[in-house]
Amino acid sequence: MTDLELDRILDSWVAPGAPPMQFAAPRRRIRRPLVLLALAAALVAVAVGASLATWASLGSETARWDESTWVRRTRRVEPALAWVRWKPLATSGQHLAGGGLGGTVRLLNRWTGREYIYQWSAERLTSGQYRFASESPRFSAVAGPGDTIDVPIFESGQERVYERIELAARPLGLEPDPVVQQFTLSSPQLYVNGAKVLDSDGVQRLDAPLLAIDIPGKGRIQVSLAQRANFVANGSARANRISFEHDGSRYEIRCEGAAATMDGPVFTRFDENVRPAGYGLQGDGRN
Amino acid sequence: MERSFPDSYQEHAGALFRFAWRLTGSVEESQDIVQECFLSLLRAESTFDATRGSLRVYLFGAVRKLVWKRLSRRREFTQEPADPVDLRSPEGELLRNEMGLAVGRAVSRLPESQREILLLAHYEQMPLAEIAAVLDLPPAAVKSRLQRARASLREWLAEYAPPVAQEKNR
Repeated sequence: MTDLELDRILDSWVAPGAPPMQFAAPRRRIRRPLVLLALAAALVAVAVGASLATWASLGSETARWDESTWVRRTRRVEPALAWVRWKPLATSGQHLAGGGLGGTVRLLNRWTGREYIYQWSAERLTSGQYRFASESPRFSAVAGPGDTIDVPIFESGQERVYERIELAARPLGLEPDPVVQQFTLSSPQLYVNGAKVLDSDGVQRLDAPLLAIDIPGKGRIQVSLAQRANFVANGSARANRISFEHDGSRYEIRCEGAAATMDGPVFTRFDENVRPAGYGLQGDGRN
Repeated sequence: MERSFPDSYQEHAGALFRFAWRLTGSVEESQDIVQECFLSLLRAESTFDATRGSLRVYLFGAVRKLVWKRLSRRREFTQEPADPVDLRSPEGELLRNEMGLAVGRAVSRLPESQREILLLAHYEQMPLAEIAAVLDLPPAAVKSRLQRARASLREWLAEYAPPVAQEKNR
């Protein structure tokens, strides 16, 4: 066996994508010789308490709250450097049985070991706006498409953690993350057993590490490019298609251009607790 | 122009995560290790000194220490060839491809001292001198261990070689 042949065999052991993480820092390229001095300078700046004018994300997801309201929720940390102190434990968001929406966000401060739990609810008003509220932290606001609200979760000195909720009258995508492998769907269409069940429905572009596909009367299938807890590998992302099988049916998402940042296996998880009324496709940033 | 912490994260996190995953076999644990590694940079007792070595060497060294600390805590680490990649775990499903599965098994059979050198050299394309700095070893020792690792893998994975090459080796 030649060295090249051995290298090719070794290359077949593929690692999953890197952890989902994104910073709102501008992408910059700098010359190598400057890297060490600059990093040292940045660390010194932190040591003396200077803040970076950027934020980092602890996770983001998008959802459709009603026929004309789309929402993007993002947990943000300021300054971005403080991200290393925080670990997202769980997020949820769902339509509640009695009407309205609700969910929970759990974050761990790795520095202190303390867990922060934030529970929210949203009730639709006759005006078409939503009354958004949380008990802990106590917060309330009324907002509709076009509005942005920030729910404070933690604040100490210059460090701030909050959830930014953006409401819009059109579908919102997640910010592309160059580190993590993600789906990059342009004008996606959903097919089940070869039959088109969902058109792009106005969605021009959807970038997300995790997809949520609603199946009417059955549940929701989450699709990921990386292995996650309780996900099974049962499909692939190839060129402009994502395909997998579930419960005896073949699902396929076709789009214009590459369906993901790279070809590879896809992993799915089925959530039967969600009971969608119709087919749906959305990005989901849950980690 | 200053190079920000996020830029540094974006440059190194992917490689650090792959390295940790190939040693632990766990996505969650590897994610934790990478975050802890960057957190260590900010702690007062951080030993990173930009005048003494590159950030990449420091970060890989830190990940390596965190991995072995965790494996040791889990009592899964021995001096004998171990199998840190649990192929029955959900993560193991990544290795459905038969050859990938075999490579993962074969690499995990390597002694720890050879395994991490192979991972850094082959999968992260790290130069021998840099690996030597990460592991605090003479470059010659790195080179010989890498050669031993590749020789073992060549033997264990021989059945995956193209038929002509197998013929040639007989």
